[in-house]
Amino acid sequence: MTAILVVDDVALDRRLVGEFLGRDDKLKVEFAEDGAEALDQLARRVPDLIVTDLVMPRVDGLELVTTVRTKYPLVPVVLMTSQGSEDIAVRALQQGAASYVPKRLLADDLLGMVQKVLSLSTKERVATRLMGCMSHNQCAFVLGNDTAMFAPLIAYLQESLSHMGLCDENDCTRIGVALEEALTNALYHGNLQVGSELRGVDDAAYRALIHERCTAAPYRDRRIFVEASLSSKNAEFVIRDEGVGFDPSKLPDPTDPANLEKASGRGILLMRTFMDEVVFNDVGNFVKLTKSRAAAEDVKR
Amino acid sequence: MGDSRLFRTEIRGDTLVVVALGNISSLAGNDADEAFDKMTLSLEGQELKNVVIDLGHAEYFGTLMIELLHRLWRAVRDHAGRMAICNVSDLGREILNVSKLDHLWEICPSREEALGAIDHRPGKLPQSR
Repeated sequence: MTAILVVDDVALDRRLVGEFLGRDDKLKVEFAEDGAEALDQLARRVPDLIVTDLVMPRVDGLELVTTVRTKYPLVPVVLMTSQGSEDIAVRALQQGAASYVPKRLLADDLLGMVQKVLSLSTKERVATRLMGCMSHNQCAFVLGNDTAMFAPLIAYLQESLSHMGLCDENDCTRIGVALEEALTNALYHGNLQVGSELRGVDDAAYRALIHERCTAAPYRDRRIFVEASLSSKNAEFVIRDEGVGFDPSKLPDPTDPANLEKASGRGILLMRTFMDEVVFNDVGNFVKLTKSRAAAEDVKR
Repeated sequence: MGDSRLFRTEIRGDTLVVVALGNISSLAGNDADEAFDKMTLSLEGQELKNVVIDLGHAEYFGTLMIELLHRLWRAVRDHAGRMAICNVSDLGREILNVSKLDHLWEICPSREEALGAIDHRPGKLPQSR
């Protein structure tokens, strides 16, 4: 049976909603008189879906949605909206409510909406459980000179790391910072061959040169190759660009007081800070970043 | 002056307060650059000479943000002003420390302390080291 929690401070509305949902005999409906009571019930047993009014005493629908998204992110919330509650409804949807049904249309639309949202959330729950079973993930990407793909790529890799339990949220964030720096280096300094020297001297010229090279051969046709090999014990990322490379040993030390105001070398510094190992090939257009669980746990001890 | 989806600005006397509205990754690119173009322009007038950067909404930032901070710092320094950073997260603090940028800029736990730090008080001059 699929458990639905209906939250409304008006007894008649609760009864009506119960009747509408009762038309599906696979749904078991329980009730709460407001958001505070709903949260008490959630602490004891988590339903599969919540249907909630918006304007309620103590904890209203908006606060309920916000709390449920934080504490029970896999439980979808469907709002029941009425005239005058539009502003709260918009905010609740922005906070993560799954959908809404106007109260005047509950008889016709509520059951169908609940069934639809349940179907989608079941898929998401199963997918999340499956990701938790992942033991190893090896993947490769070929990117163009466009930062638009960097953020979703990093998010995908962080999600895999998180599901496999290699690192906690803090370390995932740090790995994300290191990957960002490696990808932007591969793009700007690697493929587009725009050095850091202009940065800080003439920022407008720096940006203009990037823009020019993005549309000029051979730079515009170069690619960035990303390979990741992830497990619960180890994460290895290889990022390769098609530029001419560089000698990382020749970079100035960004922590030297004489270099604090220069742009060079800081990205690699962050990569080395947040990863356990950073290795470049001889040409300097390939970098391997490694993070291991054993090292992370040693640091925490 | 410099308000965008990434930053909001406020004026407190002769101080420009720059509030990062979220994480400033190194992928923020042109949006961040353009916002800082406007901020540095506003510092070229005589009314504003100090800057406080409030990173309370930014859990982390990358080298792009550091470069933008340098841009503001150069504009501030050219006008004999001061710059301080406040409400830095643990990770942000780690980034500033490992880059030794805590030697360059005053880093304060709150905006009020940052505003106080750029007042002309004896012993509080943020000097380049």
